[in-house]
Parts: sequence; C-alpha cells; structure tokens
Amino acid sequence: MTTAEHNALFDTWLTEHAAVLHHVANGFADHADRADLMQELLLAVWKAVPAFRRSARPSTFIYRVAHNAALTWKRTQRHYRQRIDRFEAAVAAEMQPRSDTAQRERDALELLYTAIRALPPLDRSLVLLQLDGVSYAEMGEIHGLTESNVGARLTRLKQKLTESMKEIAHELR
Amino acid sequence: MNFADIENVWRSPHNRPSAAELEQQKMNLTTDLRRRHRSFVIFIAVVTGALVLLTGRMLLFALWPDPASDRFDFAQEWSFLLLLALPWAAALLFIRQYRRHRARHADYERSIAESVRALLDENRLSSARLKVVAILHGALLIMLPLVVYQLRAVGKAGDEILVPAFVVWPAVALGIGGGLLYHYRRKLVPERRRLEGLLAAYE
Repeated sequence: MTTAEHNALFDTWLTEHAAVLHHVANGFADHADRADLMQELLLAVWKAVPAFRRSARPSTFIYRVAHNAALTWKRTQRHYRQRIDRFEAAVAAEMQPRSDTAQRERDALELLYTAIRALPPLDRSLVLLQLDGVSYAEMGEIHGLTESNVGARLTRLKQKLTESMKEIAHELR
Repeated sequence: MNFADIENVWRSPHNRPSAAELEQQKMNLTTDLRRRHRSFVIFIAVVTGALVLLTGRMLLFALWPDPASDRFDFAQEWSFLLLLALPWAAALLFIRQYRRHRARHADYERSIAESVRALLDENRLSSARLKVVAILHGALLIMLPLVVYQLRAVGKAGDEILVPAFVVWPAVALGIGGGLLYHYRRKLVPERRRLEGLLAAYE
C-alpha cells in the first residue's frame, strides 16, 4: 500500500466513521481525557490501515481496532494539568445560552455516557456496539465471543444500563 | 425510562463530533506522527552511531593490532571475553523468546480477546526480560573483580581502572537495578493485573 493510498483510505474512514470513534472516546474516558483517548484511537486506526484486508468490512475492522485500543488504553498523567486547562476552557466556551431542547439532549447524553463509563470495560464495549446497531454476530467476531454469549450478556446489560440511568437521574434531581 | 428511550438519546445529533473538532484532531494526529517519526529517527541514529563506533574500534583492533598492547592471551584474559559474551547471550535469548511469542500469537488480530491474550503474554515476556537483565547485572558485578585482576596482571590496566570498576560501575548498576524494579512494580505488575482482569471478563 502506497502512502497516498494509506492517507486516502484513512481520510475516507474518518469521514464515514468519525462518530464511532467519538462514541468510543466518550464511552471510555471522561472530561479532560476524552481528547487524549480520541487521539489514541485515531493513531490506532492510522497504524492499522496497512493490516486491513479488502475482503473485510471496514466498519467491523474499525470497531475492532477502536474498541481494542480503548480497552487497553492507559490513562497517562503526562500533561494532565494542561489537559484539564484545555477542558475547562472548552467548557467555558460552551457555556453560551442554548435552547432548552438542545441543552436537555446534551444533558441526557452526558448522563448516558456517565452510566456507560460506570460499567466494567468489556460490558462498556458491548453496550457501545449495541447502541451503534452492530449485530450480535459481528460483536462476537470483534470480541472473540459466541453470538449466544453476546446475546446473554446484552440482555443483562440493557437492564443494568436502564437501572443506572434511572439512579443517576434520580441522584441529580 | 426503558432501553428504547436510551436509544433515542443515543441518536441525538449532538452525539457526533463537529467538523471543527475532527479537523483539530486530525491536525493533532499529524503533529503526533511527525514527533514520533522524529524520535524514531533520532533513536536509530544514536544506536547506529554507537554501534558503528564500537565496531570500528574492534575492526581496528582485529585488522591492525598494535603488537605492544593489542596482543590477546586467552589463558590470562578469558574473563574479559566471557564478560562480552554475556550480553550477546542475553540478546540472542530475547530474540528467541520474541520469535516464539510472535509464533504463539500469529493471529492476534482475529479478535480483541486474542489481542488481550497476546498483550498479556508480552507483559510476561517483558517481566522475564527484566529478570534476565537484573541477573546479568549481578553476574557482571561478580565477574568484574576477576576481569580487573586479569587486565592488571597482563599490564593492560593500572590503578586508574579501580575507581570506575569498583565505585562508578556498581553505582550505575544499582541505579539501573532500581529503575528495573520501579518499572516492574509500577508499570508491568499493574498492567498485568489489568489485562488479567480484562481477560477474565471474556472467560
């Protein structure tokens, strides 16, 4: 694969699957660490481009690379203060008045991510894949689990996530 | 609230990065890639430079020996060769271990569970490597008095070697040992526990 092909494929994937990386970064890291994890995910996908086989589905490949990178990601203390400062600056910039509906949607989304991050890492990954509409068979392929195992875990997880959402919302009231 | 409500929240238009955010992340990635490439080039240049210097010195010794000082008497200087052989033996052992690790996890990309197994194996390999390096440093410290004795006996070293051999080098070895212990306890052990926990979730 030439450098131009590498760059072109990466750009295409980023255009088509940026939301996937965004979901994984938010599901595995909070506040100041999000940008750091997003950077790790981009780097992991960039490095994985040459290993991609044309016969495979790009989405399955990207899910596997991104979730693998997130599950094995180690939060670094390096430049932590700078990341906190950047995060606080971004929050301050976002404090402009918004319509009630937009603000409610953002708050609900933040609650959902908080509930997802409270789950153990593998469960977190399965819930993110479920919410992204990935099939059980594909999840099994990505994680190396059987389809029935994925199904059983998700039945329990959906219940758990719904309960957590109620609890978090109740605590905030 | 039920799971359908959660799915509705998930589908919110706010749940995707803005074009500006994405552009910023791409720029950061480019900077990061450049920085990593520069670090890699500097590392290779330093290692290659050191190797070229050492190899050049050895070639000079082998091809154009100084009859007065470069004569090598195996019977009286064997410990020096042993001292040089130990790091090479360790390097060959590391290569063999690495090749076996690669063979064991040839299809580590098949699934995330396989990747985690490969990472755990790599972590154990790193721990084993650290132990070998620590043993190697101990062995070098034990051998050093013999090497110094033999070099002084054949007249290739005088009193000037005593301070570097018995003060500087043990201090350096102690520092390296402390570094290895820190790396083992603060990096490798917590990482191994984390990976074992992750793997347990799959099994």
